[in-house]
Amino acid sequence: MKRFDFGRIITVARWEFIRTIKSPTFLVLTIVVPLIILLSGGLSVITSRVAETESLDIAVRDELGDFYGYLDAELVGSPLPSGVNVFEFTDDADSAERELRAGSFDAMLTVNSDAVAEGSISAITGDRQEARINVISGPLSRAVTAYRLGGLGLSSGEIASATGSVSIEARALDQEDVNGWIGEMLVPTAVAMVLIFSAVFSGQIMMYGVIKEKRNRVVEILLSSVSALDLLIGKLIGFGGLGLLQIAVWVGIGLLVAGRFFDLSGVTPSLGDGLIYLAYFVLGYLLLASMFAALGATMKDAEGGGQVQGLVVLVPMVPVFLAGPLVASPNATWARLISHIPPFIPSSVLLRMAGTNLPTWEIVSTLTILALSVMGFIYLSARIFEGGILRFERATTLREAARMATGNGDR
Amino acid sequence: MFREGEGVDVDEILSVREVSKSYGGKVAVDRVSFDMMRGDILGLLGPNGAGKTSIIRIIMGIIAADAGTVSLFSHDGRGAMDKARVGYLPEERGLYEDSRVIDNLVYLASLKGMNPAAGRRKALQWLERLSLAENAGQKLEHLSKGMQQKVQFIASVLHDPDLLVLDEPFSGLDPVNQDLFKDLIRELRDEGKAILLSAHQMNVVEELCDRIFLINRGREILYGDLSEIKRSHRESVIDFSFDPESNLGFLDSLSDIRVVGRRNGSISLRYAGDREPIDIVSFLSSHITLEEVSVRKPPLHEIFVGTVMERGDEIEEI
Repeated sequence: MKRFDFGRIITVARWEFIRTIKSPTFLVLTIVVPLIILLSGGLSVITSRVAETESLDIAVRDELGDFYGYLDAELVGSPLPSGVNVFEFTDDADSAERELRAGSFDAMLTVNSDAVAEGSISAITGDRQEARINVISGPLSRAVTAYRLGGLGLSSGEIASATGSVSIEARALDQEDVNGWIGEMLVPTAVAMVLIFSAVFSGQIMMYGVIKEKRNRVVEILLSSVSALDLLIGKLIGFGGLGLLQIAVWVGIGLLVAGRFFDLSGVTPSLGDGLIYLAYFVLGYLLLASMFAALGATMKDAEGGGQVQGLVVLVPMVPVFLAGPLVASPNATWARLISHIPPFIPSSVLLRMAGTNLPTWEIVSTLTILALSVMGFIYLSARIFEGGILRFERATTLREAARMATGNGDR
Repeated sequence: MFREGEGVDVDEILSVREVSKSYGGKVAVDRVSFDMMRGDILGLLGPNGAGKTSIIRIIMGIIAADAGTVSLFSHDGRGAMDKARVGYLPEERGLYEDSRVIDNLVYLASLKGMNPAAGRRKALQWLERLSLAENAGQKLEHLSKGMQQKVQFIASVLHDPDLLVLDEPFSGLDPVNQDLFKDLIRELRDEGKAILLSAHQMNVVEELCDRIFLINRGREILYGDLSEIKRSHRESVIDFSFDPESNLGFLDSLSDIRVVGRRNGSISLRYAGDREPIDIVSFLSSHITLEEVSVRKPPLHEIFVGTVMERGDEIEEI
């Protein structure tokens, strides 16, 4: 049984943490990239808000003579966004077009018997890019329906009763209060994504570090002072710390910027949820990073690492590609099934947690499987790491890696 | 594959016993045994691919032997403390090029169990000594190759090891730095450190080593005291110069002699007979007028090649 040398493990972890935190790659990934994403996201929010404040005047030519009353009633019941003005234009079509060209208003709708019969109302806009005309489609559609019902002899009260809208007000069985879309879905999904990407980035930086140590031959000096297993564990701890720091920075920047645009009160996860997220992140990171470290040890150079690693990265990322269905149907049998397959556990469970409260038994079972597989992965990775790290001349083949993992390779 | 070494001489630093190692069925090290004592410089010699680096990696615990035992400091060598007492300059050199010289050295000293503050102090002393004090804060990549070699050497001795393993320490060094390294190695030997020096340039090692272990294709060829090995080698080299007009037909009457070099007025002979070389010189002087004569043992390289040939082996990379 190998003995761990914790002093040396911590020395390796500290070195990797301090060295990497100063590297341009880490700084860019941790600070610059999220800032760019948030800035571009913030810009789109700002531009959409600016667009909302611009005025839009819509003229309605009512060739039927009694339609505008129905539309007006709808507009009173459900007001349009501020800046959007709808009014009736009573002159003929030619003068309406002249006024539109002159810029007296931005769009013109013509309602006649054909339009009501066919459910298709023609609209002319002064600007080809004016897509905001659609803001009126809802009230217009309801007004046409009401007009048709009026034509059948229903009173305004009966029409209102027949066309009243229906909405679903959902409440989870074990929740007193629902925070709305942001609290329920967006924040947990964002947290899940942050954890998954941080684990992948940290693992990748570690893998390229291993390849670099191999390429510049420093690894032989390291192994003359520390065992391969201690070196691997030291690296896992060091880069894990970097991952946590990265998450703190991302979440901090995210909350700071998102707080400017959204009301985030009440969406902070509870301490219990936070600890569960952390457990999945730590174990998920260890699983991925040990895989990446072993992969790095078998590569001759970073180029080879990039190609094969790209394929390996895809395996734990599979649930991310299924994020939509996982969040929408978190309790489906298939979702439960992939949440118990080791490489898929961290990302699938975190995404499902965005859509539902997982039962305790499932958290316990997935964490147990994950913890056991992490131990197995680290053990196998250490063997491959040990066997492959000193092969400077060429990359290790899959067959050789398998022999190393099973203890039949050269060491 | 390390053994407990109770009752072993306290001056014994390293004992390698019957160590073997194969890679995928190819034998790299074949039942190799040797010892090192305090103050020894043992030359581990052989051509490229002879198995030197495999032996060193086994001693350093980087790879495991298939069979045999390695005992460090008279006890089980697997413990971390034993690694801390060994300094290692690998053939495949390298440090963190994008980190500062001083940070590299302090990190490696810490891995050897040194307190970082003490490591920094000692590193600065060594850098001063090798005229690199001004480069302490520079990134390694900004240093010349020669300077990087010096930093690498410092990394191997910084923690004051009892056993220093130097794998091809002179490769890539200019003559000035080769001499510097030779002086440092002698100095460390004088301090009582045992130094295992692996090299394929046998002439360089001849200058430094008290004892040698010659290896070819993983097997021991010669092992022991260098002067004793040379003394016991039968062949002698006799170089002499003479009047160019002399008749050398008498040489044909001598058995056990090979003429290996001939120029106008000088000849180099190899003699491997039972008589003393001085008798051959007397025989020569009775036939011709000798102007200059020297008798010496052949260089180590030739002894090595001759011994390998005698055994019917090939000198070949594994």
